[in-house]
Amino acid sequence: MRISDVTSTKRSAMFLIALFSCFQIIIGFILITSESHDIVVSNNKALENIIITDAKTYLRDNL
Amino acid sequence: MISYYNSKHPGLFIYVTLVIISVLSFLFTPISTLQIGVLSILWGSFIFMRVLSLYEVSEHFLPFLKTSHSKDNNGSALAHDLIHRMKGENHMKRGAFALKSIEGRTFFWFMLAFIYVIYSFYLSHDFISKTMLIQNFSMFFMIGAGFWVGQTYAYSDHASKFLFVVFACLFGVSLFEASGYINFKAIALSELSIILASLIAYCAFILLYSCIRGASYIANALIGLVIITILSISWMVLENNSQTMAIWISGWSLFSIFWVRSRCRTYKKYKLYQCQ
Repeated sequence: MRISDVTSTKRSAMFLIALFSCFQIIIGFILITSESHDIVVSNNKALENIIITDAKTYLRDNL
Repeated sequence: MISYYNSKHPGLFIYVTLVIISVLSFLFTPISTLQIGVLSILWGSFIFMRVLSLYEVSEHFLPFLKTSHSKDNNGSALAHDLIHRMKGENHMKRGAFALKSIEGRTFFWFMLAFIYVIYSFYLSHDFISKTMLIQNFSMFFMIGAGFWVGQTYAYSDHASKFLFVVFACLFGVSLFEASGYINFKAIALSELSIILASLIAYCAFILLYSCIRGASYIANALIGLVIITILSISWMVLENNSQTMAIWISGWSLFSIFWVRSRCRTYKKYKLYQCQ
Protein backbone atom coordinates (compact mmCIF):
# COMPACT_ATOMS: atom_id res chain seq x y z
CA MET A 1 0.00 0.00 0.00
CA ARG A 2 1.32 3.40 -0.87
CA ILE A 3 1.58 6.12 1.68
CA SER A 4 -0.17 8.53 -0.62
CA ASP A 5 -3.28 6.37 -0.61
CA VAL A 6 -4.78 8.47 2.17
CA THR A 7 -6.58 10.79 -0.17
CA SER A 8 -9.05 13.52 0.55
CA THR A 9 -11.78 11.00 -0.30
CA LYS A 10 -10.82 8.87 2.68
CA ARG A 11 -10.69 11.90 4.90
CA SER A 12 -14.16 12.88 3.75
CA ALA A 13 -15.35 9.35 4.47
CA MET A 14 -13.90 9.57 7.97
CA PHE A 15 -15.71 12.84 8.51
CA LEU A 16 -18.96 11.24 7.36
CA ILE A 17 -18.50 8.31 9.74
CA ALA A 18 -17.83 10.70 12.61
CA LEU A 19 -21.01 12.59 11.71
CA PHE A 20 -23.06 9.41 11.76
CA SER A 21 -21.61 8.41 15.11
CA CYS A 22 -22.57 11.79 16.60
CA PHE A 23 -26.04 11.30 15.15
CA GLN A 24 -26.17 7.87 16.79
CA ILE A 25 -25.25 9.37 20.18
CA ILE A 26 -28.06 11.89 19.83
CA ILE A 27 -30.46 9.10 18.92
CA GLY A 28 -29.37 7.25 22.03
CA PHE A 29 -30.23 10.19 24.23
CA ILE A 30 -33.58 10.61 22.50
CA LEU A 31 -34.40 6.97 23.11
CA ILE A 32 -33.38 7.16 26.75
CA THR A 33 -35.48 10.26 27.40
CA SER A 34 -38.44 8.75 25.57
CA GLU A 35 -38.06 5.63 27.73
CA SER A 36 -37.98 7.81 30.86
CA HIS A 37 -41.12 9.54 29.65
CA ASP A 38 -42.78 6.17 29.08
CA ILE A 39 -41.81 5.03 32.56
CA VAL A 40 -43.23 8.19 34.13
CA VAL A 41 -46.44 7.87 32.14
CA SER A 42 -46.85 4.22 33.05
CA ASN A 43 -46.13 4.96 36.73
CA ASN A 44 -48.75 7.67 36.72
CA LYS A 45 -51.20 5.30 35.11
CA ALA A 46 -50.48 2.68 37.74
CA LEU A 47 -50.95 5.22 40.51
CA GLU A 48 -54.20 6.34 38.96
CA ASN A 49 -55.43 2.76 38.87
CA ILE A 50 -54.55 2.26 42.53
CA ILE A 51 -56.48 5.39 43.51
CA ILE A 52 -59.51 4.37 41.47
CA THR A 53 -59.44 0.85 42.90
CA ASP A 54 -59.17 2.19 46.45
CA ALA A 55 -62.01 4.59 45.83
CA LYS A 56 -64.25 1.81 44.48
CA THR A 57 -63.40 -0.39 47.45
CA TYR A 58 -64.21 2.43 49.87
CA LEU A 59 -67.53 3.14 48.20
CA ARG A 60 -68.47 -0.51 48.11
CA ASP A 61 -67.65 -1.01 51.77
CA ASN A 62 -69.28 2.13 53.07
CA LEU A 63 -72.41 2.51 51.03
CA MET B 1 -3.12 16.22 23.60
CA ILE B 2 -4.20 12.68 24.24
CA SER B 3 -3.26 10.41 21.38
CA TYR B 4 -5.80 7.75 20.62
CA TYR B 5 -3.86 5.95 17.94
CA ASN B 6 -1.52 4.46 20.54
CA SER B 7 -4.46 2.74 22.12
CA LYS B 8 -4.77 -0.14 19.68
CA HIS B 9 -5.26 -2.86 22.21
CA PRO B 10 -7.74 -1.09 24.48
CA GLY B 11 -9.72 -0.18 21.38
CA LEU B 12 -9.78 -3.79 20.24
CA PHE B 13 -11.01 -5.04 23.60
CA ILE B 14 -13.60 -2.27 23.85
CA TYR B 15 -14.89 -3.29 20.42
CA VAL B 16 -15.12 -6.95 21.37
CA THR B 17 -16.81 -6.06 24.67
CA LEU B 18 -19.38 -3.92 22.87
CA VAL B 19 -20.23 -6.70 20.44
CA ILE B 20 -20.53 -9.22 23.27
CA ILE B 21 -22.77 -6.93 25.31
CA SER B 22 -24.95 -6.14 22.30
CA VAL B 23 -25.35 -9.76 21.24
CA LEU B 24 -25.99 -11.11 24.73
CA SER B 25 -28.48 -8.37 25.55
CA PHE B 26 -30.44 -9.09 22.37
CA LEU B 27 -30.33 -12.81 23.08
CA PHE B 28 -31.12 -13.08 26.75
CA THR B 29 -32.87 -9.89 27.88
CA PRO B 30 -36.18 -8.39 26.79
CA ILE B 31 -35.50 -5.50 24.46
CA SER B 32 -36.43 -2.07 25.75
CA THR B 33 -36.03 1.45 24.41
CA LEU B 34 -33.72 2.30 27.29
CA GLN B 35 -31.45 -0.63 26.47
CA ILE B 36 -31.17 0.33 22.81
CA GLY B 37 -30.58 3.96 23.80
CA VAL B 38 -27.65 3.02 26.03
CA LEU B 39 -26.17 0.74 23.35
CA SER B 40 -26.55 3.52 20.78
CA ILE B 41 -24.61 5.95 22.94
CA LEU B 42 -21.86 3.38 23.57
CA TRP B 43 -21.52 2.44 19.91
CA GLY B 44 -21.66 6.03 18.72
CA SER B 45 -18.97 7.10 21.18
CA PHE B 46 -16.71 4.21 20.27
CA ILE B 47 -17.05 4.78 16.53
CA PHE B 48 -16.25 8.45 17.01
CA MET B 49 -13.11 7.60 18.98
CA ARG B 50 -12.02 5.01 16.42
CA VAL B 51 -12.41 7.42 13.53
CA LEU B 52 -10.50 10.02 15.51
CA SER B 53 -7.62 7.59 16.04
CA LEU B 54 -7.51 6.70 12.34
CA TYR B 55 -7.53 10.35 11.36
CA GLU B 56 -4.69 10.98 13.78
CA VAL B 57 -2.69 8.17 12.22
CA SER B 58 -3.30 9.48 8.73
CA GLU B 59 -1.82 12.81 9.81
CA HIS B 60 1.52 11.05 10.29
CA PHE B 61 1.58 9.93 6.67
CA LEU B 62 2.46 13.27 5.17
CA PRO B 63 5.94 13.51 6.73
CA PHE B 64 6.83 10.30 4.94
CA LEU B 65 6.24 11.91 1.62
CA LYS B 66 9.05 14.30 2.29
CA THR B 67 12.62 13.21 2.24
CA SER B 68 14.10 16.53 3.19
CA HIS B 69 16.57 14.80 5.48
CA SER B 70 18.48 13.62 2.47
CA LYS B 71 18.75 17.19 1.21
CA ASP B 72 20.29 18.42 4.44
CA ASN B 73 22.73 15.55 4.83
CA ASN B 74 24.07 14.67 1.44
CA GLY B 75 26.74 12.47 2.88
CA SER B 76 24.39 10.20 4.76
CA ALA B 77 21.14 10.62 2.96
CA LEU B 78 20.25 6.93 3.06
CA ALA B 79 20.92 6.61 6.81
CA HIS B 80 18.75 9.58 7.62
CA ASP B 81 16.05 8.37 5.32
CA LEU B 82 16.04 4.96 7.00
CA ILE B 83 15.94 6.43 10.49
CA HIS B 84 13.11 8.68 9.44
CA ARG B 85 11.10 5.75 8.16
CA MET B 86 11.92 3.49 11.09
CA LYS B 87 10.67 6.10 13.55
CA GLY B 88 7.29 6.03 11.92
CA GLU B 89 6.99 2.26 11.58
CA ASN B 90 4.64 2.02 14.53
CA HIS B 91 2.38 4.67 13.07
CA MET B 92 2.15 2.87 9.78
CA LYS B 93 1.74 -0.59 11.25
CA ARG B 94 -1.23 0.40 13.32
CA GLY B 95 -2.98 2.71 10.97
CA ALA B 96 -2.06 2.13 7.36
CA PHE B 97 -3.80 -1.20 7.03
CA ALA B 98 -6.66 -0.13 9.26
CA LEU B 99 -7.48 2.52 6.68
CA LYS B 100 -8.18 -0.26 4.20
CA SER B 101 -11.59 -0.37 5.84
CA ILE B 102 -12.38 2.86 4.01
CA GLU B 103 -12.39 1.60 0.46
CA GLY B 104 -14.65 1.61 -2.53
CA ARG B 105 -15.96 -1.89 -2.06
CA THR B 106 -16.83 -1.31 1.59
CA PHE B 107 -18.36 2.04 0.71
CA PHE B 108 -20.57 0.31 -1.88
CA TRP B 109 -21.65 -2.22 0.77
CA PHE B 110 -22.76 0.64 2.99
CA MET B 111 -24.57 2.28 0.09
CA LEU B 112 -26.63 -0.86 -0.53
CA ALA B 113 -27.29 -1.31 3.20
CA PHE B 114 -28.33 2.32 3.52
CA ILE B 115 -30.75 1.98 0.60
CA TYR B 116 -32.25 -1.10 2.28
CA VAL B 117 -32.67 0.71 5.60
CA ILE B 118 -34.19 3.86 4.10
CA TYR B 119 -36.58 1.92 1.88
CA SER B 120 -37.72 -0.29 4.76
CA PHE B 121 -38.42 2.86 6.78
CA TYR B 122 -40.33 4.34 3.87
CA LEU B 123 -42.50 1.24 3.65
CA SER B 124 -43.20 1.01 7.37
CA HIS B 125 -43.38 4.63 8.50
CA ASP B 126 -47.20 4.57 8.40
CA PHE B 127 -47.42 1.49 10.62
CA ILE B 128 -44.90 2.04 13.39
CA SER B 129 -44.20 4.90 15.76
CA LYS B 130 -41.30 7.34 15.45
CA THR B 131 -39.65 5.83 18.51
CA MET B 132 -39.73 2.42 16.89
CA LEU B 133 -38.27 3.87 13.68
CA ILE B 134 -35.42 5.44 15.62
CA GLN B 135 -34.86 2.18 17.48
CA ASN B 136 -34.63 0.25 14.23
CA PHE B 137 -32.18 2.79 12.83
CA SER B 138 -30.01 2.35 15.92
CA MET B 139 -29.99 -1.41 15.51
CA PHE B 140 -28.99 -1.13 11.86
CA PHE B 141 -26.23 1.26 12.87
CA MET B 142 -24.89 -1.34 15.31
CA ILE B 143 -24.73 -3.91 12.54
CA GLY B 144 -22.88 -1.49 10.25
CA ALA B 145 -20.57 -0.39 13.05
CA GLY B 146 -19.66 -3.97 13.91
CA PHE B 147 -18.95 -4.68 10.23
CA TRP B 148 -16.75 -1.61 9.75
CA VAL B 149 -14.75 -1.67 12.97
CA GLY B 150 -13.95 -5.36 12.53
CA GLN B 151 -12.15 -4.44 9.30
CA THR B 152 -10.03 -1.81 11.06
CA TYR B 153 -8.60 -4.48 13.38
CA ALA B 154 -8.67 -7.65 11.30
CA TYR B 155 -5.65 -6.66 9.20
CA SER B 156 -3.50 -7.86 12.10
CA ASP B 157 -2.85 -11.59 12.23
CA HIS B 158 -3.20 -11.86 16.01
CA ALA B 159 -6.21 -9.60 16.22
CA SER B 160 -8.05 -11.41 13.44
CA LYS B 161 -7.55 -14.77 15.18
CA PHE B 162 -8.82 -13.33 18.45
CA LEU B 163 -11.83 -11.75 16.75
CA PHE B 164 -12.58 -14.96 14.87
CA VAL B 165 -12.70 -17.04 18.07
CA VAL B 166 -14.93 -14.61 19.96
CA PHE B 167 -17.30 -13.79 17.10
CA ALA B 168 -17.61 -17.39 15.97
CA CYS B 169 -18.68 -18.35 19.49
CA LEU B 170 -21.20 -15.50 19.60
CA PHE B 171 -22.53 -16.40 16.17
CA GLY B 172 -22.91 -20.03 17.17
CA VAL B 173 -24.70 -19.17 20.40
CA SER B 174 -27.01 -16.77 18.56
CA LEU B 175 -27.92 -19.38 15.97
CA PHE B 176 -28.53 -21.96 18.68
CA GLU B 177 -30.78 -19.63 20.67
CA ALA B 178 -32.69 -18.51 17.61
CA SER B 179 -33.18 -22.01 16.24
CA GLY B 180 -36.34 -22.31 18.29
CA TYR B 181 -37.98 -19.55 16.28
CA ILE B 182 -37.86 -21.17 12.88
CA ASN B 183 -40.76 -20.12 10.72
CA PHE B 184 -40.57 -21.11 7.08
CA LYS B 185 -42.20 -17.96 5.85
CA ALA B 186 -42.97 -17.47 2.23
CA ILE B 187 -40.53 -14.96 0.80
CA ALA B 188 -42.39 -12.54 -1.36
CA LEU B 189 -40.39 -10.98 -4.16
CA SER B 190 -40.56 -7.41 -2.96
CA GLU B 191 -38.27 -4.49 -3.63
CA LEU B 192 -36.93 -4.85 -0.12
CA SER B 193 -35.96 -8.48 -0.57
CA ILE B 194 -34.38 -7.60 -3.92
CA ILE B 195 -32.23 -4.92 -2.28
CA LEU B 196 -31.09 -7.30 0.42
CA ALA B 197 -30.45 -10.03 -2.13
CA SER B 198 -28.36 -7.52 -4.11
CA LEU B 199 -26.28 -6.84 -1.02
CA ILE B 200 -25.70 -10.54 -0.43
CA ALA B 201 -24.93 -11.12 -4.11
CA TYR B 202 -22.48 -8.21 -4.11
CA CYS B 203 -20.62 -9.68 -1.11
CA ALA B 204 -20.51 -13.08 -2.79
CA PHE B 205 -19.19 -11.54 -6.03
CA ILE B 206 -16.39 -9.69 -4.24
CA LEU B 207 -15.37 -12.83 -2.38
CA LEU B 208 -15.42 -14.96 -5.52
CA TYR B 209 -13.35 -12.33 -7.32
CA SER B 210 -10.83 -12.55 -4.47
CA CYS B 211 -10.36 -16.24 -5.21
CA ILE B 212 -8.58 -15.50 -8.47
CA ARG B 213 -5.95 -13.48 -6.67
CA GLY B 214 -4.23 -16.45 -5.14
CA ALA B 215 -4.49 -19.56 -3.05
CA SER B 216 -3.98 -17.72 0.22
CA TYR B 217 -7.14 -15.73 -0.34
CA ILE B 218 -9.33 -18.65 -1.37
CA ALA B 219 -9.80 -20.10 2.13
CA ASN B 220 -10.80 -16.73 3.57
CA ALA B 221 -13.16 -16.05 0.69
CA LEU B 222 -14.85 -19.43 1.05
CA ILE B 223 -15.36 -18.99 4.78
CA GLY B 224 -16.85 -15.57 4.07
CA LEU B 225 -19.23 -17.16 1.57
CA VAL B 226 -20.32 -19.71 4.16
CA ILE B 227 -21.05 -16.96 6.66
CA ILE B 228 -23.20 -14.91 4.31
CA THR B 229 -25.00 -18.07 3.23
CA ILE B 230 -25.90 -18.76 6.86
CA LEU B 231 -27.00 -15.14 7.29
CA SER B 232 -29.21 -15.38 4.20
CA ILE B 233 -30.81 -18.60 5.38
CA SER B 234 -31.43 -17.16 8.84
CA TRP B 235 -33.11 -14.13 7.28
CA MET B 236 -35.36 -16.42 5.27
CA VAL B 237 -36.39 -18.92 7.92
CA LEU B 238 -36.26 -17.09 11.24
CA GLU B 239 -38.83 -14.80 12.75
CA ASN B 240 -37.95 -11.14 13.08
CA ASN B 241 -37.14 -10.80 16.75
CA SER B 242 -34.28 -9.82 19.02
CA GLN B 243 -32.51 -13.16 18.54
CA THR B 244 -32.36 -12.48 14.81
CA MET B 245 -30.77 -9.10 15.54
CA ALA B 246 -28.11 -10.85 17.62
CA ILE B 247 -27.39 -13.14 14.67
CA TRP B 248 -27.02 -10.18 12.33
CA ILE B 249 -24.67 -8.27 14.65
CA SER B 250 -22.43 -11.24 15.39
CA GLY B 251 -22.62 -12.58 11.83
CA TRP B 252 -21.65 -9.39 10.04
CA SER B 253 -18.91 -8.69 12.61
CA LEU B 254 -17.52 -12.17 11.95
CA PHE B 255 -17.86 -11.63 8.20
CA SER B 256 -15.83 -8.42 8.36
CA ILE B 257 -12.73 -10.43 9.26
CA PHE B 258 -12.89 -12.44 6.05
CA TRP B 259 -13.96 -9.43 4.03
CA VAL B 260 -10.54 -7.98 4.87
CA ARG B 261 -8.54 -11.19 4.76
CA SER B 262 -9.87 -12.08 1.33
CA ARG B 263 -8.29 -8.92 0.02
CA CYS B 264 -5.01 -8.51 1.81
CA ARG B 265 -2.64 -10.75 3.64
CA THR B 266 -2.56 -10.20 7.35
CA TYR B 267 0.85 -8.94 8.25
CA LYS B 268 2.74 -9.67 11.42
CA LYS B 269 5.35 -7.09 10.61
CA TYR B 270 5.01 -4.02 8.53
CA LYS B 271 7.32 -3.90 5.57
CA LEU B 272 9.71 -1.09 6.13
CA TYR B 273 10.41 -0.03 2.60
CA GLN B 274 7.78 1.54 0.45
CA CYS B 275 8.90 1.99 -3.12
CA GLN B 276 6.86 4.70 -4.71
